[in-house]
Amino acid sequence: MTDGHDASCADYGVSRRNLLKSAGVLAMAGVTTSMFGDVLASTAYGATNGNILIVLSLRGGADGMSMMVPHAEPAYYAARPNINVKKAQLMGADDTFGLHPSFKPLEELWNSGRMAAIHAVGLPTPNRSHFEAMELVEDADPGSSERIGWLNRVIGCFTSNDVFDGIQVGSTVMPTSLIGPEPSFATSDFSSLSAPWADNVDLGPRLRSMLATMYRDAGTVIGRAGQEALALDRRAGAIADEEKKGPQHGAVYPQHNELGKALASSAALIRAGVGVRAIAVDFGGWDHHVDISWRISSQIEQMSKCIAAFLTDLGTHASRVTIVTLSEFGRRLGQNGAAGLDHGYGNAVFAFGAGVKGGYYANWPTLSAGKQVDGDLAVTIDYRSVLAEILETRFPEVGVGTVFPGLTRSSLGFMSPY
Amino acid sequence: MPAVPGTQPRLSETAQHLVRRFTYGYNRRLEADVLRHTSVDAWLETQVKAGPDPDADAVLNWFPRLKDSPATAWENNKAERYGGWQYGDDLVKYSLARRVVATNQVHEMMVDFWSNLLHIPVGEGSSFPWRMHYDTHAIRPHALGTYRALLRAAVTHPAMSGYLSNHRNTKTQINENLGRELLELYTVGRTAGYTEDDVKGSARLLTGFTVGVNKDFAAGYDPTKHHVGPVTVMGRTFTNAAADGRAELNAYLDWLAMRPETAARIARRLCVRFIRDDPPQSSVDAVTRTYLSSGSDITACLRTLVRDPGFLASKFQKARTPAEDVLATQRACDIVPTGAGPDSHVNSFSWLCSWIGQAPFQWPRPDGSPEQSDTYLSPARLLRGWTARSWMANANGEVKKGTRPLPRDLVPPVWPLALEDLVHHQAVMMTGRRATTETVNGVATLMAKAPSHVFKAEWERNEGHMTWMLTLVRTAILSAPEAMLR
Repeated sequence: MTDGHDASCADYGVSRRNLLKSAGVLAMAGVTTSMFGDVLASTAYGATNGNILIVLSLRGGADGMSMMVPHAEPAYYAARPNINVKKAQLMGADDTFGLHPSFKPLEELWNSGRMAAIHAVGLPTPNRSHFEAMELVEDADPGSSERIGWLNRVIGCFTSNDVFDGIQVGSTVMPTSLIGPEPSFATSDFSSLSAPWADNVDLGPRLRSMLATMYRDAGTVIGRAGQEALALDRRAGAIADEEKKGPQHGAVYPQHNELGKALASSAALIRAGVGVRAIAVDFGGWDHHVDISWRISSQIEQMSKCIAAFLTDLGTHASRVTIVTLSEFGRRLGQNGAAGLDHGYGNAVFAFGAGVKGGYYANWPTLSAGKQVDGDLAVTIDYRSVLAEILETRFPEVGVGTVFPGLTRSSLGFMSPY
Repeated sequence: MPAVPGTQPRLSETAQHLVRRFTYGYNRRLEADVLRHTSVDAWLETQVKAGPDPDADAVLNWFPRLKDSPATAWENNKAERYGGWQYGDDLVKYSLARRVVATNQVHEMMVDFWSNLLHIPVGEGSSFPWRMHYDTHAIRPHALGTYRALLRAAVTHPAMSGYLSNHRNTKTQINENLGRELLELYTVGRTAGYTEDDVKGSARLLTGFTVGVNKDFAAGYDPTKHHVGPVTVMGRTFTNAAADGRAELNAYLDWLAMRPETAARIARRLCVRFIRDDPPQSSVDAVTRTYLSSGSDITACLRTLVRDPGFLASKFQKARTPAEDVLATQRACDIVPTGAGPDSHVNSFSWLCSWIGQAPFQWPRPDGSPEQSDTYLSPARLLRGWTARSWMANANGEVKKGTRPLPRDLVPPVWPLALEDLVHHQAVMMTGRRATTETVNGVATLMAKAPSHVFKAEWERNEGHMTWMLTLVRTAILSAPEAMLR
């Protein structure tokens, strides 16, 4: 698939945006979709304090080499004469790597050792199709035709089996990571997850009473779903109340930013203390075939501001929350004719927050000609190993072998043992 | 008190069951259509012949852009006059509106079924200019024909070529995408045990088709891109000697369509849609046998299915999907769209489906959204479903570019009127069945009245008051567990 990179990219640009627009979501701002993959502890309303995973999908194929710059490589500057980032500009540079200066809003996080940057991560085999690569990343089960998303398998490992299960927020196009036998659902806010006439002091309670009676004896599947719905109704109100309070602890999210909205919603969900375990958020807009320099600078800055605000917003709950970024593939080493980058292979992954041991991590393959894969950065770390290390250290009840069947890996060391 | 007119069902239990399964929901128009026939079997025979359906066809006129050629659609998208997503959105609304107004309900249901098996998301970048053509030329004409013909039409269609990368599958650079899905999703399935070499062979037979994706979307066949030479798939060798490989591809597709593994997969899928999430193996076997003996005749398979004991024993054992739910609720309330455009009622169809958990035609993968109905039974869906019902049940709700019965025409012409009679009258009108005891009691709870209440005071007859009572009765009927099932 050396031909048609531009074509496949335009496919992506049109298709994803089109799907989302038709689902009623504004795609122009940062977030294209966001979804919540969460499971509530069964009965511990307001009492749970378990760990939480946030999966931030940088859709479009984010350029890892602009974010975690291999400044010691002459090949990097040679291949990108107009779009490189100079060493002097970099944040927190060591002998090999440095971070794009637009990560500035996260400088304190980086300096305090709560942000890890991991390079040359990706799929075991190259795949430069947005559609196929994202499906592979999100299924995370090579060789299987089951088409069950890895987050869905994570949910399946929690014993709570509670009403929230998987919820996608912001779009009704279900992300493949969440598709599977565990129930999943789309919502845009929590205030809509209440029974009809919730605000009517007469009708609301009567309707609930009617539904409770009707569904109590209705038999297995439908009856249980109805009763769980009434349980959800009771809790969704608490989440909506928390949402109405707005950001806490002086957190300021960037204005008019969909990622900020999704994370603010997520923070409210976490603060409400109803037991959420995993949240996945889509953050599109990384498909930079043209003029990558200013585009990616702006993307990184927006993302960094949102993450910083989110961690502030969480307050003490931040000690439970680990954030990881994922993108379907990295981009070419060499710039194209439009000062952009076409689809490539190896990529950088970032982890933030609870349990993270900060710093740079890589089994760096170098950019020397013999190490490249079709002109791309080689992959030396299977992205599943990154996720597995987070799951293993933060969610001991989750069987890594169940979530990532057949994965053999070694410890990367970017997470503290739990 | 004498029996109140309209409080007894007019179709037998068996007829009600068949109609619940093979239509988008009960209403008085459907009931009249069934009653015009000597039996529900006779009705089904008319349905599978799918004669002219002017009401359904008129819906296309509400969406004039859907008549654009692929070239025009692409030009409009490029010029940002009308985007691919808008074409997709139109196709969703068109399809949903058709399902509400169509007389040929079984045909619409089967178009839905095959669209999901041979799924191409709407608005998708590599296929959107051809997506409407795929609906009108590949799916609809074959939805009640043979699977063999349907498979040929779908797999060789430019929309499929674009969506599953077959336009980039050439003899010099094989792209396995469509070749793999053809085996995995559309025919024999993974359990048939094909190998990676079989997938490559499948892809080689598919080479030669061209679509100018993101150029002009012109579609054709280029023999210079076709792989010539013997190809073996699952033990069968195709000599594939001609420069134009389409005849050999057709032989391959026909062979795949008639494989027993394919027959069993299609039969199971039909049984999951129309019988139960876990259909009896005996039902699947019966449909499989018919499929093979009839040359993949879809109508023959449906006849076998509806006569199967497994079907007859499966009443109310499928949950409605969110999309089925919205459409059935619309039909139960006899809300009929009459046009499209800004603020039109049709806009609420797709929005409501998405909102309660299933965006029609937008499943993001080629495998189609799940046919297992319990997938859609999350608690959040039920909450949203109840809320949507309370909106649609509003007997006085505004319907722009659409009609709904006047409240006064919904009330039986009888006074005084027992609460129980009012509930049964509404239930028969909306579902074809009398209400359950739980629903009658539920209405009483909702109204804060005794179940034995009799409306007799003059103020209770006031239209505003009676409209509100109707809204409560209808909310209760539509929110009952059996209204979520089919």
